[in-house]
Amino acid sequence: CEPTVKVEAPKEPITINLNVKVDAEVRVKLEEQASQDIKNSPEIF
Amino acid sequence: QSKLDSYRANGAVAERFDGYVEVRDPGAPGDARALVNEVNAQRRALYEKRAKETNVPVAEVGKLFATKIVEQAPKGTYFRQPSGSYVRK
Amino acid sequence: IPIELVGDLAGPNAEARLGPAPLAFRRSGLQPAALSPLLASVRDVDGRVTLDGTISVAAGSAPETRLLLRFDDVAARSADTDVEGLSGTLGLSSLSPLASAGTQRLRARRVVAGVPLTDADLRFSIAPARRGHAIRIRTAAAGLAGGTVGLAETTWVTGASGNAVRVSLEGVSLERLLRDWHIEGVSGTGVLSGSLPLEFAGGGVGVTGGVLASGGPGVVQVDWGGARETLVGAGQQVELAVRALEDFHYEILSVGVDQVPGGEMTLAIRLEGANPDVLDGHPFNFNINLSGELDRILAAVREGRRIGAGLLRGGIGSSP
Repeated sequence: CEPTVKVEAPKEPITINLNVKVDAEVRVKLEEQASQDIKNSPEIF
Repeated sequence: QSKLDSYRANGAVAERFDGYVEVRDPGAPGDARALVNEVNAQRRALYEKRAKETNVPVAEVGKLFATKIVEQAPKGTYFRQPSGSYVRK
Repeated sequence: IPIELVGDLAGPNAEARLGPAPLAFRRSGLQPAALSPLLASVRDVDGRVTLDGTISVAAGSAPETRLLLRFDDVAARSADTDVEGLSGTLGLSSLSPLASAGTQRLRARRVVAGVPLTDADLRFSIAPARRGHAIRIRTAAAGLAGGTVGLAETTWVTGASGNAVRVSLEGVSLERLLRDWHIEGVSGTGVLSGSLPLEFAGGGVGVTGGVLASGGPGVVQVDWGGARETLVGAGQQVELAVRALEDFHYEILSVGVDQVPGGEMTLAIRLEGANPDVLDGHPFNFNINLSGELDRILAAVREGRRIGAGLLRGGIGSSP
């Protein structure tokens, strides 16, 4: 369901701050390893 | 189709955001609970191994696996969110 | 290298003619290091370089060298730059100290200097400097994702402790950039331009106050894939962000680039616009700070490895 927001005032933009920490190398390897592991053991994934 | 797949497809067993499975339907047959314990034990062993290899915290490894598990879990699988509520694929 | 002496040795002037001598460099064979230790940092060289020139001696004046090095489709690598399809001629007026005969021009089909560039075109001259050599860059341009990358006119002193270069970007297609760099799960449109002030010091490359911005409106679409459920469950603000960014029509897209030499790079992405399907198109202002060892991501890009948007989801946390 979509939260209904009654906005009468002029549309004040919603400001969202997102901090994304990227530890590149390790995560790229881990991602590739995870896909591999999941493919190799279908009975537990 | 593995036993895990059929339990997930009919909602008896659910996937979780942290990379583990849980019994979702209290009325699920006994061997569903046994399966959940067995699967989680094997997954935990693998997550710990990967965590040691990459010195990423084991909880983080589980969460990363979760994003990959969801992508290939059968249609109809329930997915337990950090907030506690379920989303169904 | 064939050398031919012309003229009367006893007489006032004589000329030695060098070459033409084609040097066939092979990854498994002849390498520049064999010619001079100065060239040891250039490795994996493959292709033909032809040496040709004269050294003439006239009574009462210093010997005059005119040497030409012709590059034919040469590939080479150094610590942080790979070159492919290098062609052109390098005219030298002196060997040591090294000096070029005025402005020279070299071109390369592909150059990877942190990021993959195509059709590089460099006009430069080399002159001796107090320490090392001064490479004066007259013009330098290359292609990047449909746009052009250029270097402002500058002088690079090889012996100096630090060098600064300003890189300008024009007409870079966001769509092609994301595709060429295999950034999975993120697509978008828009044409980017801006400039990156680079500093090269002992610790590595630094960028301070780089800015890339889109000239006009465009779209950014993030496919969160398997992690959508995790993120949607992580609180109201993150849920709104996740849904909005799935099809975000922006008016303003600007990226601030800062890199600590040898350390973290930070991208401060500012997006202003709306997603027509979220809160009836209510306007959003996003400040997304992407930080980390992004140079290692660039290394992954250099090796053509796929960068999953999962990479981005993993570290997401919204500030309070």
